[in-house]
Amino acid sequence: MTTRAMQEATFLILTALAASAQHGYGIITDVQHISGGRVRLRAGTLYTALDRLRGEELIEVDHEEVVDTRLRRYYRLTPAGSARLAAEAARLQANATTALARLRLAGGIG
Amino acid sequence: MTGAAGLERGYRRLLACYPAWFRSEHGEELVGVLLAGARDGQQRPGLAESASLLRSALGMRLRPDASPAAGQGWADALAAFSLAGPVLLLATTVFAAVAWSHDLGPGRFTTLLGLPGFWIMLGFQVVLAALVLVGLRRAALVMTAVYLLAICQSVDFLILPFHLWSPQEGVSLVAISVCILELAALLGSPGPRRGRDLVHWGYGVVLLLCAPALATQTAVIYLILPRHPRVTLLLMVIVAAVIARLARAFGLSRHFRLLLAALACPYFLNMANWVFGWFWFDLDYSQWLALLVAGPALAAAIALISTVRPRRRRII
Repeated sequence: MTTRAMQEATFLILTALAASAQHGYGIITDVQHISGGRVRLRAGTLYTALDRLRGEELIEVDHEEVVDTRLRRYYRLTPAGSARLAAEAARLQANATTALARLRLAGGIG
Repeated sequence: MTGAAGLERGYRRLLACYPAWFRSEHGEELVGVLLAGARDGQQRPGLAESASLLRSALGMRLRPDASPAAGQGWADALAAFSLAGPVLLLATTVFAAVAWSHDLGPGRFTTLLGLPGFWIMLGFQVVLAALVLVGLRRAALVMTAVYLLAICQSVDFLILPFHLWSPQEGVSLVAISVCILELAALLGSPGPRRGRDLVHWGYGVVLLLCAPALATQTAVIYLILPRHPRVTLLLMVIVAAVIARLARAFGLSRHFRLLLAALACPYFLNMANWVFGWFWFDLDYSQWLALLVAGPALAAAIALISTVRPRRRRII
C-alpha cells in the first residue's frame, strides 16, 4: 500500500519534534526557523494539526507544566511518528537526489 | 481594562467558535500560545490571526474526526439516527408542503396542505421530533410505533388515487422508511441523548440537503419521468452522489451514511421500475409498498443484529 505524501506543515511540525519534546509556541518558532522564515504557522492551524497527529498516534503528550498561570503542554514524537517522518524524509531525499542528478545531466547545475 | 486583558478576551471570544471538546482539551494552551505570539502592546486579535482561528474552528466543527466523541460502529450510527431521523422527516414534510403548496391543475396532484390527514401527520412528526430532541427514548419508541401503524393504515387511502408517485405518496414513503429505521435506532442504541454527543454541524448540513432532495424526488419523477426518464434517473444519481460525497467530507460515520442511503433505496427502486419497465409482475399496491421499503427494513435489521451480537459475545 502506498502512503500519501505528507503536507509541508505536517512534515515541519514532526521535524520540530524530532530532537526533543516542545510546547506549542516552541513548535511555531522552530518551524519558522527550520523553514528559514518561509513557513509561519498560525496557532489555529498548529492545534488543528496537533490534534490530527495525536489522533493518528504520530505524536503524544510528553508532559505539562504551568508557566505564569498558563498551561504549557509538551509534545513528542511516538515511535510511529519517528518512522513516518523518517520515511517521508527518505522519500523527499530520493526525489531531490533524482532531480539534482538529472539537472546535472542536462548541465543545469554544476 | 489593560491591553493584555482585552487581547485575551478577544482570543477567548474567537475560541468560543471551536467545539466544546476542543476548548476543554486545548483552550488554555491555545490562548497561551496566542498571547505568547502577540506583538508588544497588541490590544486585539489581528485580522489574519482571527481569520485563521475562525477557519480552523469551522473546519473542526464540520469535520470533527479528532473528536473523542466521534462515533464509530452501528450503535453510534443508530444513536445519531435516533436523533436525526425524526428531524429529517419533519424537515422533508415541511419542504414538500412548501414546495408543492399550489395545485398544478386538472390531472395533477393536489397540494399537500389540502390533503385530509396532513395536519395529523405533521402533528405526529412534530411530537416525535420533540421527544427525541429532549432525549425521551422510550416515549419516542412508543410514538414511532404508533405513528408507523397509523401511516400504514392510511397509506392505501393516500396512494390509491394516483397512478404515478405524488408528493403525498412520497412523504408517506419517507415516513414509513424513517420510522422503520427509527425503531431500530431506538431499540439498538443508547438513544437520542447519546446521539446529541455525536451529531455535529456536518450532520445538520447534510440533513438540510437530504430533506429537499427527498421532498422533491417524487414530484420530479411525477413531472419529468414520463418524458425524460433517463434524464430523471441521471439527476437522481447526481444528487445522491453529491450528498454522499459531502456526507463523507463532513465526517459523518460510514454506518450513518449507509442508513441515509437506505432512505434513498425506495426512490431508486421505483425509478428503475419506471425506466426499465419492470413493473414487478403486476404486484398490488401493498406488495409493491413492501418491496419499496425492503431497503430500509434490511438496513434496520442489519444494524440491529450488529448491535445485539457483540453484547451476546460479552455475556458468554
